[in-house]
Amino acid sequence: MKNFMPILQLEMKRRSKDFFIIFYNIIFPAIIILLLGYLTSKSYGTEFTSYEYYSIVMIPFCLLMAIISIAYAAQDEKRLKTAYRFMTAPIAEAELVLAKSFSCTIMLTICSLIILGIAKLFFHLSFHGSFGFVAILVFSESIAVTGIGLCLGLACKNFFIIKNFLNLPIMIFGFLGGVFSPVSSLNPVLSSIINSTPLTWINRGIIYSIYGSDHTILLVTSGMSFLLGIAAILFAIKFFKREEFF
Amino acid sequence: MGCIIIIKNNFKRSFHKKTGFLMNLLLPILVVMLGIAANHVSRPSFILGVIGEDTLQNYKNVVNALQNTEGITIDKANAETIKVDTITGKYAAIVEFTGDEFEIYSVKDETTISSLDNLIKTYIKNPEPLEIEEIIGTAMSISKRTVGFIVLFLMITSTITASLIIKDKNNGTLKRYKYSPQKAGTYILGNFMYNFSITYFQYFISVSLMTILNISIGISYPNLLLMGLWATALATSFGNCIATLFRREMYATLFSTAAALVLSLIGGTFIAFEYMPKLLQYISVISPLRWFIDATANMDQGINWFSNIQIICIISVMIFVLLVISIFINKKNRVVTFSPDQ
Repeated sequence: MKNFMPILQLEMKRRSKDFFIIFYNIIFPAIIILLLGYLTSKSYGTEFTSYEYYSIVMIPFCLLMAIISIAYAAQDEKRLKTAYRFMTAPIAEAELVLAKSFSCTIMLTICSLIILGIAKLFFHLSFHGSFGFVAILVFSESIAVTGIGLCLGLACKNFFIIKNFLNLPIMIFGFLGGVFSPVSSLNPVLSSIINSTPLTWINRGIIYSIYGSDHTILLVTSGMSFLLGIAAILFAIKFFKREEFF
Repeated sequence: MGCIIIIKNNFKRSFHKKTGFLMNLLLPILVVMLGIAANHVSRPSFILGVIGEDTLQNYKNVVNALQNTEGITIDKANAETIKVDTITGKYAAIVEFTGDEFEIYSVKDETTISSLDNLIKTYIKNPEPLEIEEIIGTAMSISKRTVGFIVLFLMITSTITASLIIKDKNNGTLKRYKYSPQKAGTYILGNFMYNFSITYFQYFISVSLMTILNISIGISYPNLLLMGLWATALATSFGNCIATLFRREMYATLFSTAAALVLSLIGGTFIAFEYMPKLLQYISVISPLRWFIDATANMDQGINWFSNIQIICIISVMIFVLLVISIFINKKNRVVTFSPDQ
């Protein structure tokens, strides 16, 4: 694994300059929280404001949207025309995929922690001592997002067909997860659909952890995202072929 | 003539990649149908959690009256998770009955809580169901929500169809086109018409299927089809405009999602226009979704689509402006060959 560190360095440099990852994980959620918070400020009281609600639900949603950025980041070599070099270089596939996954996870976690800080400072989101737990969830979700993104970008043969449609399921998850307005239903079919989306459990986990001091849902969700992320990364390593860079 | 060549060429290219084209064509239909169905099932309702013992007379009377009140749904709440249940939106409010007293827990605004408080006090005195519009006032009608949802998704999917423009830029087709004796406007119009025919076809199929399945959103079928012409034209010109702005498909896709989302938020898709803060009400003028929702409100009352002449004019101007912007950007675009996206 002697080549791992130089590639990781290179990937970190690329990711830290990736305007879209930074924009869609820091600036965009801030704008949407501000907009939605202001829009619905009249229908919330003073004890728990609309800004707090949208900070809680919008940050994991934007992190999920990063699947698209990661899927494209996985194909950097194609875009930057460096595929030939990677084809001939004596680097193991695992090193390449791991370097990408480490850099993406680190960058996504940092961006999400920054926006959580912004939410605390400007939108008065109080964590009631659960910041550590929320950070764990954000980190695990970053791993899952990176894993799925890399799988789509590196190991999926028909990437060109599905890449444009990635935002549709993410938006639907958002609607069902209560990202745009709180969702609830007593209809058994609808409530089971709501309960089957990942964002519902992520948001529920954060709210239970912060306002109910019950960390079970958050930790279970974090554990599942972590395992899913690791499995997806292993899958990407197994099925990735350097020829796909072309 | 130039327009027709472009439309023909675009269709030929799309048919060449059959799987991709079929996905492009069918997936949005599925999404729009799912959206209509979901909006149809989730009728606006105020879910109220109640806590108390069944033996209490007050509790029994009030719960009975509330159950028969239109717009309110009752469910037994858990006393241990009051705060989280109100925050997650599982219950809009929770009422706890202890003896002769009751207490309301909610994260809603004071007006809603005091209306609910008054309602329960009235029910304690006289358990006869009443009309309660002020409590669920911010909830939107099914037709408005559905139209907002459809226009939002058409805006996103038409950007996907417009990605052919980005491909043209990257593989040098645009460069060749610019050297030919054709105008920049012809290229944009050709793409617009191609995109329009595909997007309208998707809209037509999904709306027709929903009508066949007897899922009505409260607007008549001919009105829906007529409104679709403008909705599709707007979504298509929006998609084209974004595709001319960017050189990478990812940027176009993400930007269109973000822009369409912001436009639909300020346009009143998630919260009724009348309940928005004043400043946003003024800003919402720029959002086409606001005008579609306004037109839907009129059509809800049985008015024909063409009676909304003012709204039709505003939307047509928006379509025209978006097309002019696309033509202008396309004219100014430097024809450099960029590294292809795929």
